[in-house]
Amino acid sequence: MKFLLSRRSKIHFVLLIIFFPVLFCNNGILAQGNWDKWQKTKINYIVEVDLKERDYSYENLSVDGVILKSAAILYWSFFSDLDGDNCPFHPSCSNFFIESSRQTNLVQGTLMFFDRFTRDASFAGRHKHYPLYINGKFYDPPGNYTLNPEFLHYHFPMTLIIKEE
Amino acid sequence: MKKILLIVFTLNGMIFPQLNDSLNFHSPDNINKFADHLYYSKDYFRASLEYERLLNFVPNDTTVFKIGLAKQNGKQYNLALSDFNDLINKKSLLSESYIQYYKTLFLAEYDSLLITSYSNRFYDEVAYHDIHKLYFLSLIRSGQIKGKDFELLERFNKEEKTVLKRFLERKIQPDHKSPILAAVLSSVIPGLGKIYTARYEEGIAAFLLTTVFGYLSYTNFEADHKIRGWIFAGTSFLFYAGNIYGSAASANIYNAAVNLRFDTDFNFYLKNNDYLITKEPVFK
Repeated sequence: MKFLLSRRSKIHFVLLIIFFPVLFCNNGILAQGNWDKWQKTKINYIVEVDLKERDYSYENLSVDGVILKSAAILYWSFFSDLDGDNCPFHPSCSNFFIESSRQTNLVQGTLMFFDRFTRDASFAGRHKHYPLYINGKFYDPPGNYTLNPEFLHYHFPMTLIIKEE
Repeated sequence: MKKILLIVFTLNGMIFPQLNDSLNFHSPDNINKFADHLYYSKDYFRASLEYERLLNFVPNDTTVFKIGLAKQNGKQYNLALSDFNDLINKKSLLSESYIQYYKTLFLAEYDSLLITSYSNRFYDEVAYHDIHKLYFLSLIRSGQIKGKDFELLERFNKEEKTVLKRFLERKIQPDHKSPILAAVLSSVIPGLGKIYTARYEEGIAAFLLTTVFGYLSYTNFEADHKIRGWIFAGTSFLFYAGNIYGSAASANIYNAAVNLRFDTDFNFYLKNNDYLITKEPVFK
């Protein structure tokens, strides 16, 4: 070394030794961690079907429950399975029937269901009356139709609803 | 020369670090400036944290007041109420604290609490004036306004009075639809109750469904197909009954929409006009 390097070169060499770790190793030592956050995400292309899991069993049901379950199974078999996920509303008509019967009683739930069916059959103007649910369907919860003001939560038409109430 | 320059440039930061007192970011004065900056940048949460940090160095009622304001603007209403209440109990910044206390009650929509805690024991005429206004606005919003309260309208200027009178009319005589009338109309002609509640398409659909199934039932009975006739008759009846029920529900929804539209318009007007308060806190 002594014979190979001039004095100026020695200074450069020393400076290089001092600054090299500072300039180059800095990024290595203080590198950003948390790689999971920054790496490419795995996209799931499977469309989430908004159907509640169907339970066909009749165990531990009251008389009302048996009638309701039978009606729901008939609706699933003759309408939902044939029509597919084409109901313009959220929750779908069959879920609306089940939820409304649970929230009120079987008679009131049936009336609410037929009223919903009328709204489903109405051909235009839905965007003037209903907010939009996150899945792109019109949000029409059974709570708004129980005639009980406590359950009524009105949203302006075409407002985006992120979470069910 | 090159070596000197190299040393000067590289070691500059170490030889001349920030020693100037004005650049001491943790001095009380600078914390206060930074907190004010955050407050005016609408970063209310961090502003309240900075003010609380300042309070550890310099206990000061103005800072407590500022914390209250930051929390109020950051929608932490209960915490803001507690801060203003402390100041009122200490009789410090009394009129400002009273105004902000009542404003926070109004913003949090604690209308019944505001109305019950409202009293006439304010020292400052401007505070007295503003709290009367907030009390009156709370009465309008909650629909609890009575005959003698209308005198409070005189506390507002001409322009405010005109707008508030319009809001009062909307509150006292809202454009509500009767659920009973809607149900009766639908029982007379299917779908008419829906049309009454401005759901025209649904009214037409209800009329068509009921009449078409009724007609199918009639023709099946006529052709002596009794089972099909009863099925169609039953379906038609369920649509008819469902529509009567749905018309009443639709009137309720219509009324909820009217109420929500009133609340939205009223709050929008007040927010854009600083809740009609004349004595707004200003600090530098």
